Amino acid sequence: MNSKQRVTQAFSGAGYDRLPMWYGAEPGTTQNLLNFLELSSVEELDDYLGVDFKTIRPRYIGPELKRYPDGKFDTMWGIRRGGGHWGIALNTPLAHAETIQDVEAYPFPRPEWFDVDFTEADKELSNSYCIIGGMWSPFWHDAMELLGLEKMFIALKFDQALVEAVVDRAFDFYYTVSVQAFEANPGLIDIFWFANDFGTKKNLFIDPRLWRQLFKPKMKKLADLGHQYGLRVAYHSCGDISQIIPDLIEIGIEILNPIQVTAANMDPMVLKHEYGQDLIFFGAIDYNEILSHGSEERVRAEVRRMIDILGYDGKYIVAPSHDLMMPEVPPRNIWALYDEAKKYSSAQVSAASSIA
Amino acid sequence: MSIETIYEAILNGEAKATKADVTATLAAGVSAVEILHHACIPAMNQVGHLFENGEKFVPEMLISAKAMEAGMELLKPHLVEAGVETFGKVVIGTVAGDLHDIGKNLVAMMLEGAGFEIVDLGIDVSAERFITAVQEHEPVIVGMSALLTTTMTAIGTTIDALAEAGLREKVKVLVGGAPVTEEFATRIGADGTAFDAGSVARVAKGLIGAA
Repeated sequence: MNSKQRVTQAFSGAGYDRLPMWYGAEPGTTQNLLNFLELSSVEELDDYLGVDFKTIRPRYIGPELKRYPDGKFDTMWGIRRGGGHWGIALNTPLAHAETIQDVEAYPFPRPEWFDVDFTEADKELSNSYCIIGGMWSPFWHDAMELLGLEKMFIALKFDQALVEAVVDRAFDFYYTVSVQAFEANPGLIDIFWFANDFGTKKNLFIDPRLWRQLFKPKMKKLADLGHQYGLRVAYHSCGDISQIIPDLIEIGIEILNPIQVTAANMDPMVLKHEYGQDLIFFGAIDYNEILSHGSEERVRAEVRRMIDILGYDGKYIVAPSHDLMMPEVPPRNIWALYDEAKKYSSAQVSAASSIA
Repeated sequence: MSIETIYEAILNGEAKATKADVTATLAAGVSAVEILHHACIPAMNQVGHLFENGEKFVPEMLISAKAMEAGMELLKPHLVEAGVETFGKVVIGTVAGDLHDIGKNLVAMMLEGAGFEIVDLGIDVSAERFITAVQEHEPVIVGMSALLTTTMTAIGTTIDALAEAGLREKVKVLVGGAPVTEEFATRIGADGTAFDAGSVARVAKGLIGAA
């Protein structure tokens, strides 16, 4: 059974040999893990861990984006970032925008800056792996960074048209490139996985009524797009998004990531009970405490626990509860996660089929 | 234009209305102290309470804080003239190596709304700068924020530095930020932590023994 088949079968609830697994990390984290396992490439790592997914997104081929000696770097949004890892936005290009014309005049990224075509190597991967594609599409974050948080929040209450103007342009960009990616590579992409963080550790970042008005329709457009091309649709949001999970199901989200279990109202047992019929869960292995600070044995125990809670019906992709592991995570714990998931999940499936 | 309308304006995050109402209410002879204690502080108290309850969200909290700030600008000269004392100074900053400030800014606004005077050191603040600020301002509380698991260790370092400089006993140390837990706060020797800006005023007042 190859990875592509494994994922399809697991989602259907039968005929799979173990649960699918996904890996995502900062380059520094991956290097630590490669060193720990004495491997020399990401491809080797994926095979060694048993990762079932490859992410092939449109590639940036636009104007050169500067990287600075002090670690800062420029992005295609006209923003400079710094402060470690993906960092924070250090400037606010639309801080002085007052009108929709001001927004329209801003040089947003252009779809032609992206090459969407799968290479021969990509097509080869698509034969045996489950392929994640389309644009990540964090248009909420881009809009927030362009306007600045204070201006965004004040505008959300007093000048929604301004917010919508920025969000629309950011959204349209991602949507256009995603369409192009799906058009150019028919049948090669399995999952359209996109993201916008709307949760905090407790509650949503913004009023759910506002979210339903301003952002839900856009999320629905993305979900519809994925379905139009025959893809499954996966959505990422950190934090406590419990209040909008029914909305996400309603608009066609099938896979939910990363299930930040330490956030309020994100108890995996409750979520599986309430939404297990409608959602495939993706993530949930606690990153904040267990992966970052726990012993190896604790990691392994948590993996078994989560597989029992979320994966008994196949509708679970094993992964950390944060989509980008940082270099502080001990490589031993990362290895333990995948090793235990593979062993335990295989054993569970074998046991179940021997009873049947 | 009255205490009630100022309260409502702050609660609704209306900065312009707050300024107009404060101006009119002062002109009508109501004292700045009364406005502070019967409109501003209760309004921000209620905002924090509603946020903790999940009825208000981060944007609402921020615009209410901005409205209160706008009102405070007008009240400050009168408060200074009347010799009104705040609960004391809070020296606040994001620790060394960390540039994140949204949470810290919200906390500063909420503490000001609760009646503290804020000395905001900004971001990427070294232990030395914290020490200098404590020596200069003699705050009741030192607030430290970190968003990254890598930079939160600088909180512990700064606390140790305060101890070495003989300042630790003179202040209450309040720490916060997404990766900060009660357990971490206790382990590194802080006096307290608040989960978010909505609850920080309550925790801060508790630390200094105020109502």
